[in-house]
Amino acid sequence: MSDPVLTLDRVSRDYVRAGRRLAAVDEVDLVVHRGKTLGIVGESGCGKSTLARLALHLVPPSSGRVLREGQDIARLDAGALRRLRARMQIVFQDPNASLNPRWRVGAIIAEPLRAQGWSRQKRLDRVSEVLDLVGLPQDAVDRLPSAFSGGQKQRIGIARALAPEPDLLICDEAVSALDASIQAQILNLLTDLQARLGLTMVFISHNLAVVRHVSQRVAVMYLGRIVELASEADLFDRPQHPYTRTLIAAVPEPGRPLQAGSVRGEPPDALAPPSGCHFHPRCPLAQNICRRISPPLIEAASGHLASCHFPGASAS
Amino acid sequence: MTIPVDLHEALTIEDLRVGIGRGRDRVELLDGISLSLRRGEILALVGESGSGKSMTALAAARLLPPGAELGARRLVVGGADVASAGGAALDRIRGKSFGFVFQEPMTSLNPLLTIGEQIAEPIRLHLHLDRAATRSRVIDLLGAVGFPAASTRLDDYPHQLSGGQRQRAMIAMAIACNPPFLFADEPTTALDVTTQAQVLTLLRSLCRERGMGMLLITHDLGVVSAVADRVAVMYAGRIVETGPAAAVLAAPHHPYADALRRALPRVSAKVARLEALEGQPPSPRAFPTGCRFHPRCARATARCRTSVPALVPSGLRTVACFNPIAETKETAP
Repeated sequence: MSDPVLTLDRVSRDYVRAGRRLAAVDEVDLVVHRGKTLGIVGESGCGKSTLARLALHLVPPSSGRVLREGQDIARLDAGALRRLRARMQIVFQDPNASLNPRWRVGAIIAEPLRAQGWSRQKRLDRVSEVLDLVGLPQDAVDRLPSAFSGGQKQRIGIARALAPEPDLLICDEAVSALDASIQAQILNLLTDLQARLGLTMVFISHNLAVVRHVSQRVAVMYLGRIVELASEADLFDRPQHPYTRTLIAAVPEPGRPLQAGSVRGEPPDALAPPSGCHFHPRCPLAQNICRRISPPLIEAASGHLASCHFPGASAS
Repeated sequence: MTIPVDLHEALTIEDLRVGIGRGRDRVELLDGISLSLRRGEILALVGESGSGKSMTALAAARLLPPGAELGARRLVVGGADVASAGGAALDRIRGKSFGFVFQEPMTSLNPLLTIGEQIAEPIRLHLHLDRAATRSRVIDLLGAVGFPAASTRLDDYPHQLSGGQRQRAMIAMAIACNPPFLFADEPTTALDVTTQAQVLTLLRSLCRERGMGMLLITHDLGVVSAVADRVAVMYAGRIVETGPAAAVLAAPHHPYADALRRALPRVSAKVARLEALEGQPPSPRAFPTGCRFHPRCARATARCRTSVPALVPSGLRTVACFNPIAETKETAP
C-alpha cells in the first residue's frame, strides 16, 4: 500500500459563475496506489470529472497539490511535464466525440507517440502491439472510426491511451455510452489489461455497479467533496455515510426492491451549497450540528473514512 | 369504421411491421411485433440500441418519420384505432387516448413557453376548459407529479427547472387529459440515480392510481425489475421472450435474455468476471437469416440458421427459440 502513484493533497478547484464562486472540487485528499483501481462515484455536478482533469493536470488546482510519485506536478519544468503526460492517459465516455472522424485509426493511436517524439518505425510497431492488446484486427490501422461499432471505437480509444505506455489510466465514464453486452466486454478488457500491464486506474462513473465491479477502493463525491472512502466491499456492504446508503438503495437491480423513499429532493445548486454538511437538507439523520458544522472525513470504522457526524447510524 | 374494443384493454399491437426503402435497399426494422396491455398494467420493452424498441413505440403512436412504412393487423392504443386514423383524427387521439414521455426533457420541452403553458396545451385542445379551470387543472397535475408549491412553479421556464423537475413536467403534460395509456421511452435514462428512483416510483403509482397502462421502453434490466409487471425482450427487430417481469429476469428462457442478465455488473455483489456476450447486435442492413441471434448464441444449431423460431407460449411466457434454456413447468402465481 506504500507506493502512491497519484496523490491529491487538499486539492480544490474553483470556477466563477455569474459572479459567484463555485467549488467544483473542494479540499480533496486522495491517494491512488500502484496497480490498483480507485473508483469515484457521484451524481452529475459532484465534481468527479473535474477531479479527473486535475489528476491529469489538464486544469491546475486553485489550491492544494497534485503529486505524481511524490513530486508536485505544478512545479515540473516543461520537458519533465511533457514526459509525464505520456505516462498518464485518459479514456473518455463518448468514442464518437473523442476520435477524429477524418483520421485513420493508425494515425489516431500513433498521435500521442508523435507528440512524444517516437520514430516512425517505433510508432508503427507500437500501434500494432496495442491493437493486439485491445483485441482489434491489424487491418484496423487503415480504416476510419466510422467503420467500427461503438464497442470497437471504445477499444480504439483504449488503444490510443495505452500507446505511450502509461502507468496511470483515468477512465471517465468509459463504458457509460455502451450497451450492456458491449459494456461487459470492455470492463473485462480493462481488468485484463490492468492485470497484464500493472496499470494504476482511476475509474470515474455515475454507475455504482460498474464502479464496484472494477475497483478495489471507492470514493463517493457529493458537491465537490469526498463524503466516503473505503474498500469496495466495505463501502458497498457496510456504507457509513447516509448519502452512500441512499445512492446504493436507489440503484434498480433485478431481484432487489427499489427504495425510493430514502431520499428527498435533488442535489442542490453548487453555486449555493447548503451550510455545514452539504447533504443535510436531504438527510434523514440531520441534526442541528449538521446544519452548522461540516463534518471532517475521518475514520468511521477501520480503514473506512466517512464525513458524517453520525456515521453508520440508521434512520429510526 | 368501428372495431370491438375491450374496455380494460390499454394497448393492442398485432403483427406490427416497419420498413424503409424500396427494392434492394429495403430494410425491415420491425418484424411482426405483437404486444397487449391492460389498464393499470406496466409492460417493459427491453433491448439494446437498434433492437427496435423505440421504433415500436413511435410506430404505435403514429410518430414514425416520413419514409418509414407501417403495417399492422391491429393497432389499438388507449381504446383508439390508430392504424387507419389520418392526420385530423390522430390529432384528436394523441394526448387524449395516450400520452408520450420522451427520454430527454430538455429537448422535448419548448424552451420559449412556461411549463404551465405547455401542460395546458393538451387540456385546451381536448377538454375545452376555460382559462381558470385549465389553470387549476395544471396546478393539480403539477401536484400529482410531485412539484412542491405547484402554483408558484407553473410560470417557470424549462431552463429554470432541474432535470428531474423537467421530467416531472413532461409527465404532467403526458397525463394532462387522463389518458388510459402512456408510452414512456427511456424516461429516466438522462437522470441521476436518486432522481431516477423518484421518477420510476411516480410513474408506477400514477399507473396504479389512474388505471393507466404503460409501455416502458428501457435498456436497463434494473429499471424493468423496479416497475414492470411484464417484460418483452427485443433483439434485432423481433420480440424473443415475454412473460412476468420477475420470473423472466430471474430465469430467462431465451439465450439472449439470459446473456443480457449475466453481462450485468451488480451493486449488491461483486463477481470475479462478467460473462460478456461476444460480438455485437447486427445492423438492420445485415440481419442474419433464421434466428437473428444465432451468430452470437452458444446454443445455436443448424436449424437456427435457416428457420425463424416463432414466439411459442410456454406457461405464462412466450419464447422464440428452438433450444430454450428451460422447458417450463410454470404455474400462475
